[in-house]
Amino acid sequence: MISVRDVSKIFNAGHPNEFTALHRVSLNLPLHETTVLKGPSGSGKTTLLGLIGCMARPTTGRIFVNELEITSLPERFLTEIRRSTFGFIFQQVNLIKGISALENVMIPAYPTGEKHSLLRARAMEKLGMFNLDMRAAARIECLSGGEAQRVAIARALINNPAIIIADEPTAHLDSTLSREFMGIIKELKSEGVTIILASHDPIVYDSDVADRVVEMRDGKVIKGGKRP
Amino acid sequence: MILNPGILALFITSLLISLMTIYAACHGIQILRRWDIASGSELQLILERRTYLISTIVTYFLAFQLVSLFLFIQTADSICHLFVGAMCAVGTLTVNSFGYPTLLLKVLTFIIAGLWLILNYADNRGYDYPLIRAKYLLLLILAPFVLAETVVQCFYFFGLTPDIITSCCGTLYSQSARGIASEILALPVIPAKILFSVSMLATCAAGMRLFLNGKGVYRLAALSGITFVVSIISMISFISLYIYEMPSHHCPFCIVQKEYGYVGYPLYLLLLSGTVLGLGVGLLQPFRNKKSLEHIIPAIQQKCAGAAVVAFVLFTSIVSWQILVSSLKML
Ligand SMILES: Nc1ncnc2c1ncn2[C@@H]1O[C@H](COP(=O)(O)OP(=O)(O)OP(=O)(O)O)[C@@H](O)[C@H]1O
Ligand SMILES: [Mg+2]
Repeated sequence: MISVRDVSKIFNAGHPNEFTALHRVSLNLPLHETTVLKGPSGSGKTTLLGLIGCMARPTTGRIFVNELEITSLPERFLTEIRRSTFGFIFQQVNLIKGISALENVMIPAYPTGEKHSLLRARAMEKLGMFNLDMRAAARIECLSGGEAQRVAIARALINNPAIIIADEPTAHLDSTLSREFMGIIKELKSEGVTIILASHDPIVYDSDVADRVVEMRDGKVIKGGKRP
Repeated sequence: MILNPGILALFITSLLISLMTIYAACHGIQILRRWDIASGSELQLILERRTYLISTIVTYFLAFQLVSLFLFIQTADSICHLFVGAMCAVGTLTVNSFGYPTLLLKVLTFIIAGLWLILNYADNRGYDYPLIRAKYLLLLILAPFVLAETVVQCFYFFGLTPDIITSCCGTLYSQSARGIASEILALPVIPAKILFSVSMLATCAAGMRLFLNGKGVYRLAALSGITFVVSIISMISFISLYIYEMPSHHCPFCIVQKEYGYVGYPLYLLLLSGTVLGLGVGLLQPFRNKKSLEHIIPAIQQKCAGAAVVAFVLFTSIVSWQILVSSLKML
């Protein structure tokens, strides 16, 4: 269970441009299920994903992952959790330019000290899931938007995370590729991976992969729960 | 005040350390009063973020606090030629009545700061700030000593004017002088040697026992404390005599000079390190049953005990070596 309890996030607190991006959000997301956060632009989806994934800390409130409270953890514990528990797919792909797609996929696993040949084989396998094996050696700037997005997904999977967090993963994909992506999500789900997606793409939130759709607006959860 | 690089460095850093300690202590008071890890309140989250920064900075400042003891001795030794009658650091320290108190406070803050660093090290290994209260409580205990040291050191430095006539160690550490020093000097050598050997042996044995099977934590801590005092007394009573190869020169400071191969620095460093590590083992003991430190504290205690034994053994080896090669022969 991922349990978000009374979480608020205020940006620039105490300054004239103070902004409350999340307002006392409480949510319970069971593990091994797929949740879609849906809502208009600026409703706080990315912010909430960032807090759950230990990328930022809330202003108030706590988040529990399997009874482990993550918001109070000192930074040195967070690095390890981010690396081993979460796989991130960002709204902006955030790939490193100037190096190959394969290297980008391998980077999050470097700190684990795994043997390079094994790591490389696994990275190729992940790229293969997206039919990108041919593009493995290509540099990031030579990839199309859709290819780059899929490389980013492969990178999120490299450490075999228990929880995948994807922020608008289909934003740069056409309908065919988007459906293909949801197919991969379905496969991961069947392997028991917990998936949290933020999206305003009907292909994502209307897909039968989504166990629950949580609707957000103005930093609050307005509707959420199991689909009937 | 004498404008000497060492004095300026000590003066400025002790001011900085004091300011930082005051700031950290204020934060510590808030922690002691308001800390509640179960709460997700805004204040609690702010405290969590700030404590991370503060303990990191305090770590660096206290690390310098440790170094400053040696810089102080070195500085006092290096400027002794400015004072009439001084032959070593003793002369500089007795120029005015603030010299020895400064040194004493520095030794005290060295020990407390060392203990704080051990506590902080353990706290940082736990995921739920397990020693946060103990850590800030110890910081609050340390703060007045650090402040006192800064003030006393200030008085001391400002009272240092060249050409003051001061005393040399020969007169202060002689049996005709009065005070604690002369009491120590009056100690018969053979019992002093026996006391030293027994306490060192007992401490190292306790350390080995803890290192090997995790038992006797408080014994090691107590023995380390005792050994520290006994070793300082032995230093003045008989170890110095062998190093100087003179039957009546007892000064504990001349040994940091070049003529004696600066042997005083490693000796004092090893003795203080062993003491702090041995005491630290005991300090951690009450927190052994904290859930997030269950396995961590015994591991740290084992490491500390091992390191303390190494420090004490090295200390004793250097002392024994000095006694062996010395041309002075006493029973
Ligand atoms: N670092 C920041 N500093 C200030 N304001 C921020 C920051 N990050 C986000 N915000 C604001 O918080 C609000 C929520 O942002 P968030 O990115 O979570 O929205 P979103 O639901 O992901 O939107 P979109 O669908 O456009 O991605 C927005 O109004 C945004 O401007
Ligand atoms: Mg967003």
